[in-house]
Amino acid sequence: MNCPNCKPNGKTIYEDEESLILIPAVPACEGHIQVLSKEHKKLAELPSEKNQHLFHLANYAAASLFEILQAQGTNIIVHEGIEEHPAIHILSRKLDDGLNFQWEPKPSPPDEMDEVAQKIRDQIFPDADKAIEKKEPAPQEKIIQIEKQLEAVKDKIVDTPEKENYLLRQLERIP
Amino acid sequence: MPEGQLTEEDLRNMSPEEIAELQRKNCVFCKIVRGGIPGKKVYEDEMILAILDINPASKGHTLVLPKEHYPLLPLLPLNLFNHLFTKTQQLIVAIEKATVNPGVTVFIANGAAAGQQSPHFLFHLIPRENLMDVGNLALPNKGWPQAETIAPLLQKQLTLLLKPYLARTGKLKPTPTYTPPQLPQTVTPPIASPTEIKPQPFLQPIPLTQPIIQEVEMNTQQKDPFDPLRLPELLETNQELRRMIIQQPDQMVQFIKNSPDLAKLFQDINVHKLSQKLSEYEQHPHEPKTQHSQTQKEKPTTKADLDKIGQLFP
Repeated sequence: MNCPNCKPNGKTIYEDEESLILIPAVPACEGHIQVLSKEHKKLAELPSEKNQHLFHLANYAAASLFEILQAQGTNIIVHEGIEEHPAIHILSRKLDDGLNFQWEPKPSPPDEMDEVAQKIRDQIFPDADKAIEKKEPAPQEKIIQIEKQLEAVKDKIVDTPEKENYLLRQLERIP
Repeated sequence: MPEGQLTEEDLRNMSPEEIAELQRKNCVFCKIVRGGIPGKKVYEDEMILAILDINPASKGHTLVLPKEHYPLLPLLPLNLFNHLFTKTQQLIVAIEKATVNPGVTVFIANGAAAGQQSPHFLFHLIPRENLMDVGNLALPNKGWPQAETIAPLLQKQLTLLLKPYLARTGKLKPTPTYTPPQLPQTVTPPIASPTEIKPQPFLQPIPLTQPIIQEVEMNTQQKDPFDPLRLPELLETNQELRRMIIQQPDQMVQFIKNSPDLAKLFQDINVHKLSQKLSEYEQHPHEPKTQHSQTQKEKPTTKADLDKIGQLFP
């Protein structure tokens, strides 16, 4: 495999079983540090603990720049997905360093924004709508019957959720 | 004076808490969280919020922020930090699918010098088609000539900063400085139960042989004989070990260095300090320990034993 981040070049300044932190052989600018997973995976594909660990390392690596390089700020940048095995880049920043990451805004009309937001929401909860549709409403009579029975045993229900659900399920079984 | 119109002098007279409170009150993102300003919400739970950026770099450009007002990333509490980055994984996948893009650039700015525009910590998820499609997001190529000389300093500082985090998460390992030569495994030490070890006159020289631990341990209990928690018990029952620590602390340190097992048993223990304490104790015993040990040795390590050893830690 020709992945540059699987066999990275540079000076390693921290290493553990799953990750490493290094100063790349060709740093982009002053204070450029990389945090890498040893696995050839995107961040989103890693188990959540490993992903958390990488960002903790990035956070501490960024913090180390303040003392050593008198950084006035830090950037943490990941080109997730565009690189198959992305590095977390950490850059040291100063007010007059001449770097600029400010992108050009491309505003879009409100209805287009709403559409995109809805699309992303759908992806986060892909089954949410279907789950709601699947629920069949119980026949009206049955509901009334259960409500009556519930009323009768109301005092006896202990208010822990498991208990309540259990009792409810019991009640539903009664014809 | 109308509210919200503060002079510089007012600000100077305010405590840091009051200034923080004022920042929260005027923070745009706190207002969005509270619902005072509408935002195009993408995801929301009890701790975090994701909304679309009103000045997007590309379609689907999302901001992820904690609901609570924290100015910088390092100030986030551990559970919030973990939650935030775990949800980010899901958000990345959702944004990629929703915008039909192969990737997302995660952009975090800490401090105004890095381009942070609001005092409420947040970061950007910018959907990308390729590395060139959004201007200015590529890494610079200014180089860093002093990298070589700075590296050791950074490494030292980083190790220092990481230590508490690694200790807390159980990832801290003792630095592997010395690889001990393998001890010959063929020699079986004579098995003697602690009761059989006759107390020797205190100052009589003893043969310095490497491991005394195994003899006592193998036949007493099944569990790991080198569990550091067993050290107090061992010191009680194993006279030879005890004498060796008192009389030959330097030799003992050498042994500990050479044996991974001993290193485990003595981890975090300053042998010289221990030696000093034990010899003090030997000279002024507070209670007749040696007699007791005959009857108590079956007992597992007690809390008191641990506390005693705890006092020896640097």
